[in-house]
Amino acid sequence: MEIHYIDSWPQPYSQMDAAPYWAALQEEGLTFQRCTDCRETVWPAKSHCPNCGKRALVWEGSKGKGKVYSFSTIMRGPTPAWQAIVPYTVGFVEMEEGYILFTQFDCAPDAIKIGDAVSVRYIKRGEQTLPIFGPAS
Amino acid sequence: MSPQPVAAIIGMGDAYASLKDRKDPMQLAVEATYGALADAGVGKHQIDAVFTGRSPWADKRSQWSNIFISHMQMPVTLNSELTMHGAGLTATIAIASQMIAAGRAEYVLCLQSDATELFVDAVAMGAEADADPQFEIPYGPTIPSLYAQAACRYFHEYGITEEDLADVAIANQRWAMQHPHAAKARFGEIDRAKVMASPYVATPLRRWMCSTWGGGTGGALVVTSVENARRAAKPVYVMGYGSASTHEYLSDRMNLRSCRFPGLGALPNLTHTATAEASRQAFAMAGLGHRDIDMAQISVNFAHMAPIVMEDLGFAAKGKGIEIYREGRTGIDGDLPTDTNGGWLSFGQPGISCNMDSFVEAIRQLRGEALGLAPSKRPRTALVQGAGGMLAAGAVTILSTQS
Repeated sequence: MEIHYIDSWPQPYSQMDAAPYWAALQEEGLTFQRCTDCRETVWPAKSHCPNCGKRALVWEGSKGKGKVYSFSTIMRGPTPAWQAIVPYTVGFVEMEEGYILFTQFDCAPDAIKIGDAVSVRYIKRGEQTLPIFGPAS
Repeated sequence: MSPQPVAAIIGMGDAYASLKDRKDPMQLAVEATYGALADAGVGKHQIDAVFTGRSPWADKRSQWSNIFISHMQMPVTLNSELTMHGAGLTATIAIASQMIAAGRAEYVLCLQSDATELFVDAVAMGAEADADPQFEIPYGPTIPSLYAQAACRYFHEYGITEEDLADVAIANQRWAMQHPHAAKARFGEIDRAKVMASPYVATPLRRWMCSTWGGGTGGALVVTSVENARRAAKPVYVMGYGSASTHEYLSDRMNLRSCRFPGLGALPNLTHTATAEASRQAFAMAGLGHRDIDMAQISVNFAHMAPIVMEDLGFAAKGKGIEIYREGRTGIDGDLPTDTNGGWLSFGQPGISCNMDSFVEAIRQLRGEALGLAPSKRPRTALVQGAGGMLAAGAVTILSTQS
């Protein structure tokens, strides 16, 4: 596996299951999968529902809202591009639709706590638009 | 029925490297292997199988176990890597024991080596190795920041504080100060103020709450039957083992809705790990209770993992693991001396070999051959716990000098 960098930013190592997800993000749309058989939300992207095993997943649009589940502010970045933007905060958001998404938080390090309402915004890194989260608008 | 061993370790070899005495992972593995073979009194042609954990950080060629037996000119019936990160190495003893019990091997070699900081930029490599390259790496996580997600939740759910974590760092550093190969030994004794004054690496984890890389290590173990071990000079018996693997990437773990292992707790959570299931299996197999364990060598790469692992092992209720440290039970005079080489926090993590370092330390202590401090009461039993990945896998082995 080799991670592809554009303008020093790591691009997603895209798998075929998630191709619609990355395409939707280019139009600033946040999507997730749902099983049409058992109705469970499914994340990360798959070809079969991990809950019921059926090949019945469809893509739905997310409202882009959720709550902070966990977070950590990074003071030492992994590469020079990341080191240039420290401190930055990464963590998990519990999405309203019932799945949990790893992301970056667009806010000051001391302005975030577990349970905070957050909503999506977008940032382009290299050629890919990514969902990041900040205080709910 | 009294506890019965399932296999025995009759040979142990260890090797060390530093910035002043550079050795690469193959050199460390070979040195440790010849040490272990000599210790066991067996020749390389008698080794039926070789198992390692995943390839060293400092030499990421795949099929590393093939490369090793090839380099050694040591044909075997079976060789493989257990890829459950560090826990895979800990679980090699289980696979060795199973082959021996099945009559498919008489002698099995388990080994691991690494020398990360001597050869590679580990900070850059870290997240790429262990974070999801599709859904996590585009946001710039580091290994400390991924483990910090668990710390963040652990603080929130159980009221643990940074000061509590300082007590773990202090306890481990006391052991490390006297160990000749401990990476942080040179810093001497530390206190809460020193830990709390160290800068954040990734909140809420400060530098003293994080492992350091630390040189290079290699370790090799020769495993054989209990019957063969009766002729060995210093056998260490394998009483029980267990393992579990729940995910690779933290995003998958967070979205896991159900799990066959009750020890993983109500999902989602980041405060219970596969070690809980591994521990359940190991204790059940050994027929021993927690009070029978004289010493523990566990995987504490970040300070909050100490109480979490102690809880998963069953030494404390959830949220209470820190009391084991606060009460001094892991120290030289405690009833559960733990991480007696300083552990991953202070001995360091030379790379994937840190899980082998835990075995080497356990066996040296059980044999009364510690390189550093020894517990005031000589341990007869030891629990070795190895975790791996981003809370991904856990393995537990219970050892004893008594058969």
